[in-house]
Amino acid sequence: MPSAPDRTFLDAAVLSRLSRLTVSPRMPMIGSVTGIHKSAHRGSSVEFAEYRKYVPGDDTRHVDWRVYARSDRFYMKEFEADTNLRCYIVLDTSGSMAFEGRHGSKFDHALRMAATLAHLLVHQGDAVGFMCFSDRILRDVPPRHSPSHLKNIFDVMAGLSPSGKTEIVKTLHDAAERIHQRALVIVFSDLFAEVEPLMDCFQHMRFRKHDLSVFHLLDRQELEFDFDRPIRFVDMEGPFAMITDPASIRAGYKAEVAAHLDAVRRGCNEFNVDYQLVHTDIHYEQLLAAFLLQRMRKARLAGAAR
Amino acid sequence: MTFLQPVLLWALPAALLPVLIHLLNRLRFRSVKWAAMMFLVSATRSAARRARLRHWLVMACRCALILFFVLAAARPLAGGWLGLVASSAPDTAIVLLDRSASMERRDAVTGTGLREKAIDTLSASSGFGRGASSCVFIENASRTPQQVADMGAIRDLTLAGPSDTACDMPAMFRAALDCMTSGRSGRTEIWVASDLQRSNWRPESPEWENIAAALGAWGADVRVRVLAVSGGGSANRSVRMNGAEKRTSAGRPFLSLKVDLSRTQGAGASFPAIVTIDGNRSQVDVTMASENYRLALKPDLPGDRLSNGWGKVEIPSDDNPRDNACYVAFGEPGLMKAVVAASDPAAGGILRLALCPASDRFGRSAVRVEAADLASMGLADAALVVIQGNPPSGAAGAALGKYVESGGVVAVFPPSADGPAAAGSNSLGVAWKAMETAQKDRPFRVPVWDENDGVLSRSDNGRNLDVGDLSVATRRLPVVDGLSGVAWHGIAHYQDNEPFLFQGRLGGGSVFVFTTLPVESWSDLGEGRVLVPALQRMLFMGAGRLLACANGICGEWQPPGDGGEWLPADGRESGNPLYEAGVYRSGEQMVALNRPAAEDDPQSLEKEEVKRLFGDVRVDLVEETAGAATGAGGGEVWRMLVVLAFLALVAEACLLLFEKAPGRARGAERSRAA
Repeated sequence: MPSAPDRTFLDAAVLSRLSRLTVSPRMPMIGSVTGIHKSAHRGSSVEFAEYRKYVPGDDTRHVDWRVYARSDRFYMKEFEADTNLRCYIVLDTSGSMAFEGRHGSKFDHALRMAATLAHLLVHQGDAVGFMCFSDRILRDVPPRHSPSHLKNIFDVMAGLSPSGKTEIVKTLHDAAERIHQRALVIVFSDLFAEVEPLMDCFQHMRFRKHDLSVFHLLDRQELEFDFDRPIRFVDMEGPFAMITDPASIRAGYKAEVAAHLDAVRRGCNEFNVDYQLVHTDIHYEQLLAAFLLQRMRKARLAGAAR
Repeated sequence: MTFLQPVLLWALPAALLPVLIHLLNRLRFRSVKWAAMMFLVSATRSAARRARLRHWLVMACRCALILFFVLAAARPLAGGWLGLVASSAPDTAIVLLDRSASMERRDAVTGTGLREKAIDTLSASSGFGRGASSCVFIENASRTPQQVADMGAIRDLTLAGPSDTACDMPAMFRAALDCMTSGRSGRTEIWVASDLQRSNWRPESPEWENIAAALGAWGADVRVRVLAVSGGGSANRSVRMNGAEKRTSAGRPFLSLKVDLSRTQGAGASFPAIVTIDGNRSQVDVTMASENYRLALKPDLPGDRLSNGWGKVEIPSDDNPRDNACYVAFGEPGLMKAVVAASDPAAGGILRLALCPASDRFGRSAVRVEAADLASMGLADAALVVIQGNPPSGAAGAALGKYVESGGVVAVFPPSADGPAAAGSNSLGVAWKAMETAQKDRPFRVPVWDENDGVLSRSDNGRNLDVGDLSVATRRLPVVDGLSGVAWHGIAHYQDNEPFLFQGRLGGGSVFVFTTLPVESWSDLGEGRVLVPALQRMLFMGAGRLLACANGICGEWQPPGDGGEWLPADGRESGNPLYEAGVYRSGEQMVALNRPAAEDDPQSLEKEEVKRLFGDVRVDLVEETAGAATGAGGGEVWRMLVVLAFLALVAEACLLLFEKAPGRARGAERSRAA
């Protein structure tokens, strides 16, 4: 008898609590079907959008006769179009994501968040695609909005284990080229790469008009570096190892980490990337709830301004 | 730098403990799989140089901390400016300078004598005089404390110059203690500059117990520092006058001189000796057959010289210039008077005849008295006192003891009646065991005697006395331990090693003890072949103190109380008879002063022996060897080392507490800019 699929990264209670929240893009999307999100194009919804001049050939049903009575000119009414969201979840499965602190590994944390978001998106009628990478894109599941597609994504997720070197810059560029239409791209990674090439990736994504969100996962131990005696640090992505006295380099290490985080944050700000710093000691539900609420707020504000 | 507790220097390797712990810690590392390698490498690269430097500085501070503590525990002594700034000053500093004849030994390379070296070292040492409110100088000859401003002033003092005296170190310490007690000296440092000659320090003297107790009563307020100077004297010859006697042979007067020569292995055996008699110089080529050699000289005396005169024997100068000359004063003794107190009439008669065959002839006289009359008759003009029987006690015994101590000579013969007497009952401390009678055909013989020296030595023509032919039928062996401070030694021994004749020095005089009588029933000593020359020599020996000219020991001789000035008579322009050997004259009187015989004794004390003399008193022994200063003789600098250790501790704390990485500063700047 076939064994039950591994779904430890899904928590029904968390899904239940987060189901009232929606994953909202920060910009109009281009979807394949009608959905709950604003479309980049004009459509036939009940929500008036704007006026434009009549050109021969337009459907006269949308001519605003009251305006004509007042001005003797023909204007057409435009209405908002609602469409569904195309979302790509990009998960870093390089060896560095396997780092496990006191509250589990970064990969497990990222997987839970990715799976939860995928579930929410599908259940709100949006299309979800999935990519995972280490030194290259390992799996590319194109976005679909059917529940069965969600099962496929979960099956792929269940079979993943972090290994290999990190080549996030190359793979994000590759992903940017693969995702043709405007989409919400959510990246889960520890971003162990040089900041400037990384920002080039983000800029590429923005050039492709994607709504990019980055979940930057770090363990508290990677931030605090609270070791008290000489340690032999072994690289999780290769054979490199070094012995050092943490006490003597702690200040410099934390300064490097702070500088890296600062540069990433500024770069994300510059390229309008939705940046989320994730500490693995904080429960993912809390982080996702904050992320979703923030996005919902922004979407409401954007609609009100229009 | 020297150390007072050098055994603690074995703990110096403990200074490497921080390094060892660091290496062990590095071996105890655990492995951790790490993802954020890029930050680790970057931090290590940026902080590597500075962190490594700080790490090594911390390690150096820890090693220095242990090093300074170990050095401080070893209590180093440092001279020069280091000892000056690092050690504490006493209230009173007392310098005891040994300027005896042996301290004039010179280093063959530098030519500097031990006394000069000691003065130079004390001058250079920061431990003396620096900061002390009172500085006192005491030297061995006068032992009179003298206030000085500093060490530089001592160098210029006449009393710090060379002398031909001996050093009585216990007496010098008594003088120092008197000075400390009378002057209320407070914290006192006693600096002793000496070559640790055993004859000067006299470690067997019971005085050291009292000295140690007196110093110990001062507790931590007194400190003794002994500057042991040594070296030199590797090529040295010495000359000592052993005896001089005016003789006449075939109408030709001459001076019979016996001179003892000694040399070290580095000194040549052949050399010229200059003999000066009353200013007339002559040279004698000497070849020493061994390292100790007796030279017999018979320089002629001018025919008309029957009065007093002086003589001097000099050898070439060498490593010690103070032992290259000896002096003698000679003269006609006048009427030599002997006093005979004999309980046995026969023995008394023989003894009187042996001393004075014909009354008032040959310049001798001998009177017979009762032993009890010795106190009333006065012995000041007696050259020899002969006692046959138990030496007297009471007033007579006291008079006899005083006579011997003033330089008189006493010859003692056993009592003819049996019955021992207690040694302590008479002033000479001589008692007798029971009479022993030899077997009829096997009398006691005397096969062993001193042929070279003393009253039984061979005659001027080289002929031995007939001591070996003596036949002794009856003898009484003595018990002579009744007096302390008397050194007895045998001159002749029976075949069973018991003494036939032995001598003891008491004060300035001598006591000779025979063990048989010159009566027929006891021995054939009365035949005179041995008795007459022996008694005559004793008579001459005792008459020496009555001469207008005298021979004395420099440092022991004191001028008579008539207040006359004593000036050099041996051709020197100046000289002080209290400290310098030579011939001195005051009016009609003349004295030849020689350095003490003990100054030629090369034996010295070991360091541990010196420290034991002072009991629990803190003694610092500093050595100054010839040609290389191995002892600083300076102050203790452990306090400075403790301060340095504390500074090392503070430096380590600063390095650890206030460490600042360069990345943190840059990160802070970036944060502020953002």
